[in-house]
Amino acid sequence: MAETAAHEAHAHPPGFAHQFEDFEQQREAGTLGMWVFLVTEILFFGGMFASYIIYRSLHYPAFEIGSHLLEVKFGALNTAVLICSSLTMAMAIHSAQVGKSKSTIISYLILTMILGALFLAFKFTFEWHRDYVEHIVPGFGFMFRPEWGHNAPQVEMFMCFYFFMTGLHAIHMIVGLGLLTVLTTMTAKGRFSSEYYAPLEISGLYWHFVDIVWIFLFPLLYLIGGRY
Amino acid sequence: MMGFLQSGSNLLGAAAVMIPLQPPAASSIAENVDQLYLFLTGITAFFSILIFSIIFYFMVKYRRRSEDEVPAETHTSMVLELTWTIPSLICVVLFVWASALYVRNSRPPAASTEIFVIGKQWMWHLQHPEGPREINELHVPVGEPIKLTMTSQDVIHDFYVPAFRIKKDVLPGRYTSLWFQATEVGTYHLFCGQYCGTNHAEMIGWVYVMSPTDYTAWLAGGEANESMAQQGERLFDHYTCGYCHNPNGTGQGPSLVGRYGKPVNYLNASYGIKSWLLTVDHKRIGLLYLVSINFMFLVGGIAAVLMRLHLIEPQGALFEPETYNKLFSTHGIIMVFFFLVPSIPATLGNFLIPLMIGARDVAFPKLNLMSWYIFIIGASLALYATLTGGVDTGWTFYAPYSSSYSHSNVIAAALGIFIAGFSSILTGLNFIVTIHKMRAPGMTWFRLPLFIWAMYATSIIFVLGTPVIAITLFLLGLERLLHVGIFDPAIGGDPLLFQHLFWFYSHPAVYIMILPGMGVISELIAAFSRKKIFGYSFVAFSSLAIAVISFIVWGHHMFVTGQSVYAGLIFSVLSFLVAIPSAIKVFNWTATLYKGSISYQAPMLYALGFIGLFTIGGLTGMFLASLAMDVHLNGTYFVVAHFHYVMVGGAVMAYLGGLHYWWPKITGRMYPDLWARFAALVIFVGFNLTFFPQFMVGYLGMPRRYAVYPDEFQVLNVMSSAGASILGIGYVIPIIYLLWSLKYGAPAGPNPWRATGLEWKTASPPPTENFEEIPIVTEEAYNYVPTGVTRG
Repeated sequence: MAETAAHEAHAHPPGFAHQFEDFEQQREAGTLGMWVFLVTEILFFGGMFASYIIYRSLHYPAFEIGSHLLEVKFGALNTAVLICSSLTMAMAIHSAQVGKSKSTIISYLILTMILGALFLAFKFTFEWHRDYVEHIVPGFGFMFRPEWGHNAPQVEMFMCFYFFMTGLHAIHMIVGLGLLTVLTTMTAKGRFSSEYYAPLEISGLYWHFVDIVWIFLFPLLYLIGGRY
Repeated sequence: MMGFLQSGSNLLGAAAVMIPLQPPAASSIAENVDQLYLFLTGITAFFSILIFSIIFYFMVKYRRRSEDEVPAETHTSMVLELTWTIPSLICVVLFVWASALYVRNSRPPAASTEIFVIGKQWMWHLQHPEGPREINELHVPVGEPIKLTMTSQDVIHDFYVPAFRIKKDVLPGRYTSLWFQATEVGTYHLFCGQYCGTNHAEMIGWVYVMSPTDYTAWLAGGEANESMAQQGERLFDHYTCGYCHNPNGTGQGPSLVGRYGKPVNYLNASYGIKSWLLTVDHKRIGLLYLVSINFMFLVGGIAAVLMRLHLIEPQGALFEPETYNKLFSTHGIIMVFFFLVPSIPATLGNFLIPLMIGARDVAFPKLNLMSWYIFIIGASLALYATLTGGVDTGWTFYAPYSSSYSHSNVIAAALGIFIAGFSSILTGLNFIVTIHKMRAPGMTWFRLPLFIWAMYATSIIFVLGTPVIAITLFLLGLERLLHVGIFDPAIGGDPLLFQHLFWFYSHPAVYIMILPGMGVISELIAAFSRKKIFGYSFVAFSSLAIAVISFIVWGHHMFVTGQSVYAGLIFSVLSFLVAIPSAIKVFNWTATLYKGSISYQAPMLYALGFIGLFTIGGLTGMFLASLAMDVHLNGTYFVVAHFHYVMVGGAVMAYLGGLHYWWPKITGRMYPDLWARFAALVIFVGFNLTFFPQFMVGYLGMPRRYAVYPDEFQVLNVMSSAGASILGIGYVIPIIYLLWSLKYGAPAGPNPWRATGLEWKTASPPPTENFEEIPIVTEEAYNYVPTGVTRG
């Protein structure tokens, strides 16, 4: 019996990293790590938001014109798509937590991925491509329109911020889709159980964060200027 | 007849052995407990017998004699009621007696030897202060007080030695203690007094009480009746180590064949370039950083020496102004972003944080390796930018010069810094999580070495500040690439926004560079004066205060940019505020020296040099925080001298001091101390000769970044250049003797400085897993116990 005790004390269960004393410590470290990372991300986006706010207060009329160049209906559609994806992500974590079957977790994860991909597809085709056709992509054939008058340079600046911010957000979405792919494979391999689902939970934090960034981007970029 | 009697008494004797009446009494407490026990037994016996006798007497005396008998009524007697209450007073005696004994027995004598106990399902781990570890066996000397500090790794256990009459629960997540003084040589049972699961009953151990001579012999090498090899084999089998570490190497653990007599440490655990480039060991990653960062220091240093040579003559001795501009830009970019920022955190921090907090590694070892690769990619880009034409924007990249006007490799350099920034962020993230979650049992926040507090504060700045510079350089790059207006007013932007964003990171970055140095100095001052850091918590919190305040002082770089006067006033006040925590540190270090036992080995020389130079650097900062003064000094050599006193006199001195102090731990070898002291002296002299004249020439009004200058500044510039050459030599000497010591240095042993701290409690160099067993911390940092040796 003493031998089995020694084995148990020395066993390396799958998913357990050598530097930790137990699973609980590993889970806590992972979660704290993700929160710290999200703090960094807030500061990362924060630099842009700060610049945006300063320029918006300096050049409000130009930003108004810029905002009116965007198609609210696609922004709103994408907002809905993203909120749904947060729901399915939360459902995936919840399924793992209560010990639902692998296939349930996988279907929620794939649903999240489909919604995420849909967001990007809408963004690229209905919005960015249209913008390119209309010559309002800075650096790529941007053309001043006579009705902008002296506001034209700052309209371009607005479009810069629009593309920087939504572009950075899109990059985060793509990273998130990569994470979801990894999670799906891990789930398929049966790595998660109701005791161990930390990677799901931690990646979920990231996904929700990316959604929340969009929740701020949508009104700041699409809804200014008293249009509605 | 005689034989019959003899065997009869044998039989009696045997019966007495078979039915023991009390456990062996083998501790100083046991006798008292037994007396109490006897007293209690006596009282119990007396009253039991009394009651039984009376009842029995009454039963006989008052038996019913006829079916119709009805006894006479008896009346309550007050006297009797009172009389038999009197024996209850004995309870008071018992309470006082037992409580007094309990209280006395729960206070270990001051001179106790402390032994650590860890209970786990289902065994006892015991560790002696001299080092030996035992499992389910405890060897103690007779006649000495022993204090046990106990904790559990899983459920509640209970340490129970009947022969000593002691017992105490062993709890997970907290510490309990227990003491005893054995009085009889012998072997006694050790039990677990608290049900702890399936094999609870197998938690049986032995306490061996030995004569002091035997105990010393045991400590020195164990019992003689079994060879070490036999003991080892027995233990190897007993704990089924071979299940994982089987001889043909197919188990989960490495084979142990051929390991005997070859101490395995992190350096010789594996060989080959791959074992370094793919390592996840924080110590090896620390060394990877050490090599790469020192290389960057060399590149930045060469640029500095060339600049100083050029400035010997007012018209410029060597280069075209364009080349000179590229030299100071390269010097600044490389020194700030690729040497000073990562210097202490990535090398010493990586190496020491897990060792100091008693962890096996950082929280995310793979992320740690990734950070190094990210750093290397960033550094390569910066070097590429330098080699293919250079950058001429200065390290500050002010727009719109950098975005619209410069014709140099701005994009490559900015991208390099952008990428290296993620290395900082990930390192900071790793450190924060490690310090929060990986501390050894008993390592509370206020037992942490001050180096850890400093690294924690630094990591906060890494995490909060670096993303802002990343996004700033990203915007700058986009403006330059796509010609869209962000910062350049000609195309619709605002150049001051760049400065605000840049200094929002770059001022805190100054504290990224100096805070780790302050942490190192706290360690050096404590170790070489053998004293607890004076005002520990003030020093600890001042690091955090500096980190927090550093984020709200950036505007003092912009007093002359035309920002609002009121903003200037506020930034000035806040900048003075940041002086307070810095001053607290300096005062506390100085106070630590008071009545210390100070030795002047090389690391201490660097530490003392640091305090002096940092004081000058800090006080000259007050000049620059004073609005009217700054108007004169801003952008002159005074600023250059000020931040070199902090960055080179402070951060680099601390880096070198720390490198020397921990060199024996990192490499297992001592460096020649005499050479080291000599080098420290050369560096100190060279440094002051280089930068002190720059204060003067700055006050005279010489602007920085001038490739040519008026004649009247020449004398001071020549002095500065002469100092730079001495400083350069001073930096080369340590490279030589440190490399020499790798092969020829004397073996260092685990603790050459006789310093406190967990990093000195493991071997030098440490094994890959840092500690054989995770240590339990029971004392504050810098607990230098007075030895009683008086000063001669």
